[in-house]
Amino acid sequence: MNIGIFSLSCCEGCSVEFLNMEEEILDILNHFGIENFRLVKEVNKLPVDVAFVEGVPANENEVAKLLEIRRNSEILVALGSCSATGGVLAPGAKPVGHYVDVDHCLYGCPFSRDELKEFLTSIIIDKAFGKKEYSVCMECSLLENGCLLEEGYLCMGPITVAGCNALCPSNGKPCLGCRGSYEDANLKSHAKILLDKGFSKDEIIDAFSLFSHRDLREVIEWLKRR
Amino acid sequence: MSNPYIPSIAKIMDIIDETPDTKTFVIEPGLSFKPGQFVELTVFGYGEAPFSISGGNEDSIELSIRAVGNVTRKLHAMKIGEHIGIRGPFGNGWPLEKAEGRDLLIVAGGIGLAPLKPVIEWVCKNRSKLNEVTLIYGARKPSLLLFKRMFEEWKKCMNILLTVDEPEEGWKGEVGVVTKLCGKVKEFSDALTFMCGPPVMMKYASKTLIDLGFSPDDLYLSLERNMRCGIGICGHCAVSGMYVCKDGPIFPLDEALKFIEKPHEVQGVLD
Amino acid sequence: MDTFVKIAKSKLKDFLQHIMENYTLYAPVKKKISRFERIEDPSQICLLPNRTEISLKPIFLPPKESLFRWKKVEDGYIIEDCLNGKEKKVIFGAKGCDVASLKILDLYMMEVSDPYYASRRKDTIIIGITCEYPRESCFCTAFGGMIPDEYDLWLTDIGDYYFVDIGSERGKELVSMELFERASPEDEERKREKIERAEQEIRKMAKIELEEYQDMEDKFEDKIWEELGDICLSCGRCNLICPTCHCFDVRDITNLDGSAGERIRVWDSCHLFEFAKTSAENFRRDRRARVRYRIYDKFVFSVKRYKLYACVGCGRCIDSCHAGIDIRDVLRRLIR
Repeated sequence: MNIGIFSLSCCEGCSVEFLNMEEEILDILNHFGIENFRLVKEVNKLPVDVAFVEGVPANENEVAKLLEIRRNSEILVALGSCSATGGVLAPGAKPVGHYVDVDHCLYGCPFSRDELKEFLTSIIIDKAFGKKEYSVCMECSLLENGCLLEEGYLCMGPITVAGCNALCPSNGKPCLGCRGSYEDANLKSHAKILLDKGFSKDEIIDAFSLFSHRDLREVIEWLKRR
Repeated sequence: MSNPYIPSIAKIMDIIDETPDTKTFVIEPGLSFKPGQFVELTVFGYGEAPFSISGGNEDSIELSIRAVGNVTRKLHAMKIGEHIGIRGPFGNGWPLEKAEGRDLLIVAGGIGLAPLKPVIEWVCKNRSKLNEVTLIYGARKPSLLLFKRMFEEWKKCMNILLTVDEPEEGWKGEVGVVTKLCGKVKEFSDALTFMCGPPVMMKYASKTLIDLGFSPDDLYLSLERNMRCGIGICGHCAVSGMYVCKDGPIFPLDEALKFIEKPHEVQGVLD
Repeated sequence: MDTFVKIAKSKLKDFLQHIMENYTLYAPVKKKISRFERIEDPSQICLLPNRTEISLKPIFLPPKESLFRWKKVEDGYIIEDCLNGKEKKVIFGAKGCDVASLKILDLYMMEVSDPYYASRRKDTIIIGITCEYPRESCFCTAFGGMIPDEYDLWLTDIGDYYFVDIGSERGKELVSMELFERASPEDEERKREKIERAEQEIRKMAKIELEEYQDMEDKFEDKIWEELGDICLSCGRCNLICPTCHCFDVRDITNLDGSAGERIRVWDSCHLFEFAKTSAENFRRDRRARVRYRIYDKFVFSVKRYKLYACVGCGRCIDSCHAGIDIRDVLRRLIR
């Protein structure tokens, strides 16, 4: 199977993260040929079986490029937060799914390597792949990390979708919510808890807006009205 | 003692297309089981899921499986000769001994006929031990009725009443929900009922039978829950503190009605 | 056991050293958070005045463990069981709530013997120690108090000595060493006072007394569930931190091409949306129903099944709840 990694407007951190997969990349190359990856290849081709698209289209050219990728790929994957939800580029930019059909999303800034491997396996062996319905907070508790929210940090773990294995909290940094939220997340309660803990409305609005401006706009509006 | 979490390797010996979305897998080796029990089936790499045993014996067992999820879809793509993992049998099974000398009503909806097929086969072997026996079976469409190939055989031993929600060309049977047919068994005097189907079906069929005077302690329901470990530890299948995988999956209606956390299948049955 | 025994504090290290010669020793250690760890050197041990932040549960039921590994071969699959050999354990320095929790965990995990749990749990020797002063969230007195029914040895600080209660034959064997001395009736009186004082303090703070089987069944439709459902984040922290919660998820992970893999189990939480979901239906879709289920599983269903509350009053869920749900408040309302 062939894959391509395509960059629209963004920091290209997901492309870099792909290259960071030193341990796994050889195994991946046993199963996939990379047909298109501007960061590392001079000759880039279409079509591909699986297109990973990072970033969002920022102009007509990029929209056209995205449409061309869609036409020339079996499976299109929104790679990373910007592509999947608009991420830090929202509200100005719209996610890839606004322009074309997206088959799968790999959330996170950057995406999670473990999740990418899980996704590639699902492609190779035709296994279901889906979004988790629980939080980073759950993953963090499984690691028995201790709690940054308890320590007074503004942590988005309780409303952020799991899959990163609580990478930031495990390294002493509160979750910024880069993976976005999930359907069952109790957004309003988390906002109220943060208010009770003494964070200002603006701080909370900023935290909710940072990566999920679009998906959390309802609760952000609710916060603004309070 | 052997480790109950380790599946034993089994081989797919035959695959029978039952309906467009359901296949029966005949696998070896078989195992000794009670009608109504289930196994946990592993498709290696994809996961494990519970399936009731729809027939067989120590030599081979049959599992009739609808393609709905990750494991089942992969299973449907597998071929004769391929291998799977099996743990079990788990669960309590239907109380067949209670049926002796009495009328037996079997009520099934859709894939719910699978755990009742071994009951029907037991009836056919032990017909003289029972009085009246009736099978009421409903499916969404005639093409989705399971085990049609067996109906002629079964008819020798019992009345079969069929119904579908959406008739297709050539359908001569009833149209409507299973509940409608339950009204037709008024003449049953001392009947035991075994029931399995979607929660909504079981709820309304139970209600109809109770209204007809059937006793809640003679009405048995097979519940479907998220049975993971199969041995009452992992907690996913618990309803009201009962482990459906171990204490069930079959419960008498009167017991289920006493659950503090009412199973969806019996909510409002007495209202 | 008719004689009273005590050990000088200065000799405790020798005692532990002796234990380590014959057993694997687990005791409280304070790093970023306090928990029980395998001890290589007795100086690592940190005897805290009250319970550790992490309970004893992970020693016997780790957050994540492999059940078996498998590999595809020409004619099927080869399975390798990940069940480990037994380890002779001594748990030293556990508090009453955590020791009491093991009895509950045993009931759930060994009704049908879970081989992984059983192999870790079997023959474990428990040397507990009385709490110096409780935490604000402690309420063990609602479930029988600071001293559990079952232990091998129980230490209580009485000044220069630890008073030692002997709870089993195995415990008796351990105190046969020269390190232990005969205790006086005054020593025993001092121990009794110490325990009473601490329990009194808990009672004063907790303000909750449960009868042996308190009827809470009629509160199933209470409006409390809606209130809690509104604020609960369903993060699952209360489940994971709980010394008696034992539910787990089973997952299959594979290598990239699915030719080999393993089945693992991971702690799960009944608060999560998909906990009771089947391919056809989600039986606890409502957050309210999930919040209620946990409380009922601890205080109603457990009583029906095992004739005990599946809670020891350690208060960890209170300390860990972001939404500030205090199980003592919930109980007070349920038994009202």
